[in-house]
Amino acid sequence: MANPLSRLFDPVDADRDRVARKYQFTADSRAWIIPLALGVAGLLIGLVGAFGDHYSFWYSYLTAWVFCLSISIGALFFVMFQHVPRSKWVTAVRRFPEMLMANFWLLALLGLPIFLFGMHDLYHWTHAELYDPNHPDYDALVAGKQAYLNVPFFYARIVFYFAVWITVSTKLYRYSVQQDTEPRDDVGDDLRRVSAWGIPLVALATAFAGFDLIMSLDPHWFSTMFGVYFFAGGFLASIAAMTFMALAYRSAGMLSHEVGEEHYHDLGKYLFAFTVFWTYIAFSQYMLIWYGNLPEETVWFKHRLEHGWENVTTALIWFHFILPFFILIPRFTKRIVPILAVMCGWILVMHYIDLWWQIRPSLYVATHNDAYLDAAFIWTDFALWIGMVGLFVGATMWRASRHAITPYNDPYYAFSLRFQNV
Amino acid sequence: MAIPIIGNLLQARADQNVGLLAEFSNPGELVEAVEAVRREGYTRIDTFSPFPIHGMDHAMGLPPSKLGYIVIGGGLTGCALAFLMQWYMGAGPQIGGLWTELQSYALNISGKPLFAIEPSVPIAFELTILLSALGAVGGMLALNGLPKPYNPLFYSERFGRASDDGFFLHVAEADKQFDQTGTAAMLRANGALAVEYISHEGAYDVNEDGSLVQTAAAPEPAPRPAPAH
Repeated sequence: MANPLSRLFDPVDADRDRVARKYQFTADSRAWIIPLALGVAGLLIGLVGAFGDHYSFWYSYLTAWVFCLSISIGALFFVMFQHVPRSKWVTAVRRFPEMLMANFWLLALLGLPIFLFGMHDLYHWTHAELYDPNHPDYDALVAGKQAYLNVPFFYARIVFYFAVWITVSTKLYRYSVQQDTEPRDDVGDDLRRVSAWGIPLVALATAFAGFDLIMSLDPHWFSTMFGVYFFAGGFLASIAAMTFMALAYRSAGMLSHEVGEEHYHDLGKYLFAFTVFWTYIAFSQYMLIWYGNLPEETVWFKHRLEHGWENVTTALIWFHFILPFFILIPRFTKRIVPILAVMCGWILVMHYIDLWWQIRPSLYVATHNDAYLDAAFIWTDFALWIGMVGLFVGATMWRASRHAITPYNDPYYAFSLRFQNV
Repeated sequence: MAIPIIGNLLQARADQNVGLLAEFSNPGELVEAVEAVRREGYTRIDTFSPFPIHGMDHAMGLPPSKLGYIVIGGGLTGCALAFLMQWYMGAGPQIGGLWTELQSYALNISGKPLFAIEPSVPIAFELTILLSALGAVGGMLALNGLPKPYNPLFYSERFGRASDDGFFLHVAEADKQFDQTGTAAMLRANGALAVEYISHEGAYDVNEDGSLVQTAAAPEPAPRPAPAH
């Protein structure tokens, strides 16, 4: 019988042996150890930073963690968005986002240090003196938000978010994976029903997670659009991640008859569309604040338009929007594997830079320490990013090696194999 | 002056539909017939069916659509026009004359610059979409040779079924290989149920021996009323 702990990281017992060989993960079944080892090494190296500059360490840690979290959330949304309209084309590639979205227990575990040890360094609003009218550091603006920004309520919300993500993703994962070995005709109804009530709940949890995890780093600032911005970046990155998985499986000789350029083309269209969506949301947020011109709103962008951050802002416009937009427009770039693979990696890197650009400048706001004024990509950013992504990829590969890599018993599977883009 | 040009254009479009019209029993036969006809070296062919047939583009040897280039051209034009318009109306050079009125939009709104990228983007976005969409619809019509108010194919009674259950292959008389009797025999050999010859004068059934039987005639033009004095 399976180790109960393994249920956390993979809600369904391994059924690889009952799956036809052409649907198995045929790369070395221990291949997941490589990224996992890389991840542990990265985290350990990064951990050294905690004994030096612990503020920087926590900001690096949060950025890396939110990067992985946003990809799992995006993958969960993607799966739900496909089930609700009973989309057929996606079936052959649906296992990739399903593998990505099953990572929430791992992410909860990796997030635990933030909530146990990192709160004071990360979230300035946790400092008790801000709420004391007799203290010189009393902050009327933050004190006015105490009903929402207080540690017990924050913890309760985080628990609620993870409860939602884990419940919905586990149900969808379990229905889909069990269909491989115990097929039933009405699985589509279950998947669709869970997705239908899951979308509003997950949307709520995701928007408020964006407010809590990132926006509250700068507690004076607020943007009602920030939740959508958080979703947009994560959704785009998750499409890049699942497309990259599809291409990587192909180059490792798996699913060579099942997943082809018609699927790449559709995933590429998603990648293109959500590059535009991210820009639409990011710019809408910026333009409204520019037009309103209220100091408590513009200050967030002011920090990101000076001391070197203006170069990062410009880079985001060029490399997160303009270049990917024009590269992904033509039909052929979405159907040629090397180009699409490069674009997936590119988008993932830009998503990290986008999060880093959102998170890191708040460090100066919280500490007013001039050492944090200038834009600088530091070694803990890199080590912890590699570490977190290593664990994330390792867990995903481990899960893939235990099950079929495509939902071959899904009622729509046959259709998905032969559809064509007109 | 414009009327004769449009008239000639529409006449040229209608001329392309003079030729042989062959009916096939199902989409699969139509695709096979198209492949066979192309192997014979015919290039000026067209097909008509009640619904899109997968693989027909490939069978007809149609190149990828040029519509995308028209759309992106429209989009980039709209984007550039929108920025130019807003810059000129808000903060452009004072040329004077006819264009002065437009520059009345140089309004100071809570101290914001007369021209800035930020508030111009929504208008640029909308005009990009507008001209892309107009380019897509207009380009689609132009590439399809539409509008075509007069099309001789409609002389054929069978042809009405192209929007119901008929599958048709048309070989234009303008094709270099076209030979009324030979082409009709070739179409029949490839499974055509019936072959018709369509001209500006009407529709004719082409019999197996190559003889023509008129089935429909173009209507006589209505007599023009005598100009009133």
